[in-house]
Amino acid sequence: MVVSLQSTMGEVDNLRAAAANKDLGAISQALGKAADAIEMADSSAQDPLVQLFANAPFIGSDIRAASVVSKDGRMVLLAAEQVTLVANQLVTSGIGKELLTDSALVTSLRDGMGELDQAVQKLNTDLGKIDESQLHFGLDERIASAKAAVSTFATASARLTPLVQVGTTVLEQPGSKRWFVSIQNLAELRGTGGITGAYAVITSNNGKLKLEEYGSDKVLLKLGRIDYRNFPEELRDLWGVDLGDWRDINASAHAPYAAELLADGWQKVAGKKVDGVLFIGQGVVSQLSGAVGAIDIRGVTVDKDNAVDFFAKDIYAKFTNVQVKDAVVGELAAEMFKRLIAGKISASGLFAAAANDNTGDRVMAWSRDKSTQQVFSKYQVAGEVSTAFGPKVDVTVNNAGGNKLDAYTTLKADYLLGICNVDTFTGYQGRKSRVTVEITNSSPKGLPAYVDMRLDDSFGEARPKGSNRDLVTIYGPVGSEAESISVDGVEDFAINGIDRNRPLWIFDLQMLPGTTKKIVLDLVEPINDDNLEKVPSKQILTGPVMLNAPTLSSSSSGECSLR
Amino acid sequence: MKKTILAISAVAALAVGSVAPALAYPAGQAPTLSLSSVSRLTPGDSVSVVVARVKRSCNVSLSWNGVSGGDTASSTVKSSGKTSVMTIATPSTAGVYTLKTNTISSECSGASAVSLSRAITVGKLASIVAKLSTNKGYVASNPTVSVSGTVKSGSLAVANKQVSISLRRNGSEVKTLTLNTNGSGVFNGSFSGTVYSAGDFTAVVSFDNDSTFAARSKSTAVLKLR
Repeated sequence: MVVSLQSTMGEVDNLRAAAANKDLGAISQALGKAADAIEMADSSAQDPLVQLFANAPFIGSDIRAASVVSKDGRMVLLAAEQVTLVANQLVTSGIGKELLTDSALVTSLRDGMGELDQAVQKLNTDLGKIDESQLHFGLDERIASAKAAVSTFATASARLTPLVQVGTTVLEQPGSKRWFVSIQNLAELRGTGGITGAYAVITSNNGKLKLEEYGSDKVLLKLGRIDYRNFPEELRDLWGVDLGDWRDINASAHAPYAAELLADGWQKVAGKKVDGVLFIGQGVVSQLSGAVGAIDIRGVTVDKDNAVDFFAKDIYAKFTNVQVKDAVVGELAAEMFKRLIAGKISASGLFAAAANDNTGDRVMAWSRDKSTQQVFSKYQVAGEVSTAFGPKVDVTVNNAGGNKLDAYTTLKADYLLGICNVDTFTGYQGRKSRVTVEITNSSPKGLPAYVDMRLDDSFGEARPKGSNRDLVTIYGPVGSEAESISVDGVEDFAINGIDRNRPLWIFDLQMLPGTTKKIVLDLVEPINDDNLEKVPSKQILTGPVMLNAPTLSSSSSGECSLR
Repeated sequence: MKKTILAISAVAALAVGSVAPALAYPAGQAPTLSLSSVSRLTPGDSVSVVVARVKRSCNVSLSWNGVSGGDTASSTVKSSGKTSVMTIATPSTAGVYTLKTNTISSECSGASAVSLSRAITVGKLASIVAKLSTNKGYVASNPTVSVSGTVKSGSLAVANKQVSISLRRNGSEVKTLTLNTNGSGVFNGSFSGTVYSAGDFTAVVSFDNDSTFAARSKSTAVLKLR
């Protein structure tokens, strides 16, 4: 069995070589061969006689490791074979450039990508549990190597899967649809990611794409104010934003709110119906830079390795004239689009960029059509704040300084489920929990003036250069209540309210450069719902969409039982 | 294939960062009303409040909306843009109340005049689980319609609580009933002496607030009589 596995890994090496040639057809064939080979190893590993030795001294670890690689690995290879096969067919048919003749293929790619991602994540998790120091027969080195490769694959897959899910959903729309793309600048944080720094309007006509319009937020501002009468009234004053301003409409974490405002706003000012809205930021840009390769504009080279820093930080220093900066951005966008449409892309570059993307960016999508919106929800790319009972916590940050200093903001969040047998005042059986958020302003000295400016009114507080102001929002579980609130160990005040049936607490933090602030929110949260049924126990902590990926952790003292 | 899918977002993705900061309007500019941990309040407990981002020397007052004789508080804004910590006692019976400020003028807010408010739950909430049932499904058989249910707050049964039941046919009240929960929070009763017409029946079960529990109301599922 171990010999079969060694053989399989040889086939995977062949696959790697095929992938280097960037030929989807060849990759698909190589994947098929590797899957066949690994099936033999899997059959051996699952043989009852072999399994008998899984707990045996000396060779037990080897058998268990081989079993993980063969079983999980086979699922990955089979899913990957399917994805590349379909992708190859779609490329051959000129998807995006031509009318879509077979939407089933697009659907198949989307579903296949989801299955592949699940398989890869499982393999990555299971491999992580193997202690290679306990392995023999040369498996130790191969497993260590596989761990690194699979980890990279898992990261890339997690990045690319939502992009494919959104892209394929847009492409398969029947008839003509208009999509407003909000390009968020994650250097100035908002609830859905960042301030809308620019936009594009794209039409899809039975799978054929066309860029209709493109501009910066200054164009949007000139178009006029947004009508926000349909926005939930109880949310309007929570974050102290002007919902009529294009740049301030995404303070809530619930992306559909902002999407609807953008769509309605565009229809009002441009007179064109918008069918859907996409949100993207610098992380997606870096992935696309990997796909299209390096672009040289006005003495600057932007590639997958520097795209995030360039668009979040360096562009402000390099092009201090705002008009020139905007022109540079436009020229880069035009060149990138030209290459994508012309098919001048590198699959390996895209993969490498996705694997190396360290941002906390994630694509989000909204559709006016309810069935399409359900598809986005199903794939968890809708950016919705859940209204369901259960241990769910969301953390967001809104920049309140009117600057670009969140390029230097980092955040850690921890969600701990604690003791049981505590009732909530809101009428539920409950348990205690604690949410801890640490936010750090690591802004360096010497930043361009418009990066570290403060546009918020001053009330005499200390504002050395590099100081920032952030509104940290914590969404608690439905029905939860705060027992205590503290910042840096001192009882504090928070703006509280309800968004999407979720209680929330907003902390208005002045962040001096080089400092960290620690929020501790002690909660009592329900373990049963309004029908007195036990709530799902799956604990979910969702961090902010931000430039520097947040560090998230969660733990539990165990399950609670209803009394 | 990926190239075109990705093209959807690519175009604009590169356009990031074209904000003109001088025109930016940052979040968090408007006056805010912040509270210490306001959950788990019993009637009469105090709430601590700070109103911030208001011009110096402006006056801010607090009151409970619609509560006659309720407590009030006020403070003058300091140079930090914040009031002192204002303490205001919650109403004496349980319920969901609205704490509001006076109207903060445009001169004081720096923008539009605004009155800030927050909904605050005082006391405990209890849940009602109730259902309607009948011994016969046809009105011609002179059925008896019964209502039963439970009132609980968390793991605790709400005992000796008076509940009002409004029986409704197609949304219109046809009969009322008053019951008391037993030691297990259970209530049940029947609507006697009623001649029913065919239709969709529901019962709205409710109870008033007291010193412990806020008022609550819940409708049962539909019972069809033919």
